[in-house]
Amino acid sequence: MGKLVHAELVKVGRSLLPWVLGSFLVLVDAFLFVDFTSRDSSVFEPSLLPLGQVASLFLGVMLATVNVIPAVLIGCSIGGRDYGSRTAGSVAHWGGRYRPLVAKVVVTVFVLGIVVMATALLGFVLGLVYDTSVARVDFTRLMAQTGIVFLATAMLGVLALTVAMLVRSVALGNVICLVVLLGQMFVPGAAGRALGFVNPLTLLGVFAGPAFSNMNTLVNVVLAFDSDITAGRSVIGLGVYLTCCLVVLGVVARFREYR
Amino acid sequence: MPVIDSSDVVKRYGRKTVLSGFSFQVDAGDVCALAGPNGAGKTTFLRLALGLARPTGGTLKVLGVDPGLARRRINYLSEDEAIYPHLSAADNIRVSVLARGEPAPTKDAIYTILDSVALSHAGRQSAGKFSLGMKRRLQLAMTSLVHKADLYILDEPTNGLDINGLLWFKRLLSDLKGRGACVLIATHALDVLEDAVTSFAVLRDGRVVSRQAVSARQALPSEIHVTVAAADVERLRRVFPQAAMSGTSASITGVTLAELYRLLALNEIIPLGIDSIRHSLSQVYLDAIEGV
Repeated sequence: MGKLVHAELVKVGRSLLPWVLGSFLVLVDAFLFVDFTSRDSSVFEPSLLPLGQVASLFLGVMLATVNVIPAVLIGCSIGGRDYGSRTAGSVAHWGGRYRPLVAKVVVTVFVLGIVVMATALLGFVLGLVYDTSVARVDFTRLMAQTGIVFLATAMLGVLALTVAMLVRSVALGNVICLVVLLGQMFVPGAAGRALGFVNPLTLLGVFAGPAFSNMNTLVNVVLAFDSDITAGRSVIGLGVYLTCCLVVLGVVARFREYR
Repeated sequence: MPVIDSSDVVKRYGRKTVLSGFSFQVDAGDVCALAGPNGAGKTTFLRLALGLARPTGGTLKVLGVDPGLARRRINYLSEDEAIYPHLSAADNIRVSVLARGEPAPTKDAIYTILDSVALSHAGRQSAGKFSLGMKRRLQLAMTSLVHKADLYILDEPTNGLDINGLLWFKRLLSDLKGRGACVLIATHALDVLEDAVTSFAVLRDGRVVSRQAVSARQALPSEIHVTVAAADVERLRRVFPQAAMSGTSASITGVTLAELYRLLALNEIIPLGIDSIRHSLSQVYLDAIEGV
């Protein structure tokens, strides 16, 4: 399995996508940081959110909005690339029907984990530049926040991978995922609420709210993660979410015909 | 035991029947060309043999087991341009080795493989920028050189190959035949591969309509033209009643040259001229297709 994961990492690492995405995320974080530390900023108030906790700001914004972009783009790229380059049949022949898929899931989770860890680390380091007191960083909270953002991003990435595998296309996978994820904001009523469950954030809200409670002190920034779903139901929901993705991938692996 | 043993295989996609009653065997050491018009079912059969698709009916065994279970003993070249265009040639080789679950090849090993397909100078170049022939050679290296197999399934391997590429490919086939591997080639370039294959099969409408060994074909000319003296014409007609006569010449089919010489000598017929004609594989293919 390690060799197949290595092969997938070569394919991802040699493509432009992770580097372009990484640059984009650094730019977003840089914009946030500059705005946050500007004296003219309407949100700046070091007493409300110690600069040592700026990682929370980066992770919070990532969880609320930005993580959809790397999760969908990377998940679809890993899931659909072999169909685009017409290597899907060769890959299934070389590695078998199941193992390459498992490798793709592992690499998707791994790459998105690096993206989240890099965001947390960037925030931590930038925070320390302005506030050298490590004691003011709440490490337990930071780890919880990183874990939640990682979970939300990785699950979304696995969903994107599944969709791209199903439709055998990176581009179509991206379009479907983004339309559904954005569509939930415009579809009213129960349908919109149902679509909301496509984003794991809906299920993780019950955990994200308390973890990001330090952000509540900011007066002009509202990161609303609260959810009316209980913790127990959220855990069950996350399990069902992941199981559905893996079952669909398993069915694809078992029954797909390469024409 | 045949390497590929297909008996009455049927494959349907929805209402469309791609293969029907497909019976076909290939043995070890055989280099078999599979020819047929577009849509005859060549690629479909190859994919069934690889386990990438499943037969709707019939039985198919590859290397003695169900298709797909023997994949580690098979090398497969896809008809498509199946390379990673964003990767360099060297990385394409590396990925194809790793994806088989084998240890990462050394740089030297990669460049030795690339050198054998005359691509070592382009090892760091993006494969997407290669010419058609270079892409095909890279693909052949990824599928046929990184790993030794008992069965090679090659779908249109000569597409895009230049003269040097073709000569190299024929040498590869000769090497594979020499070490007892079985090679199944789906191709439209029958004439190009005539001296490299040991047998061929012609497909039409999802069935094998002709299956011949090249050695048998070489021993049996398609047609022999014999010219004799006017006095011998009647005797010639008696000895070869199936011959098409035209003046003092006869066109004879279905006999070997040795048999012809024996019969002429036995009947004291002195040939003034003998012209043995062997049709190209393409002509045989056309005869098989039109004869259905």
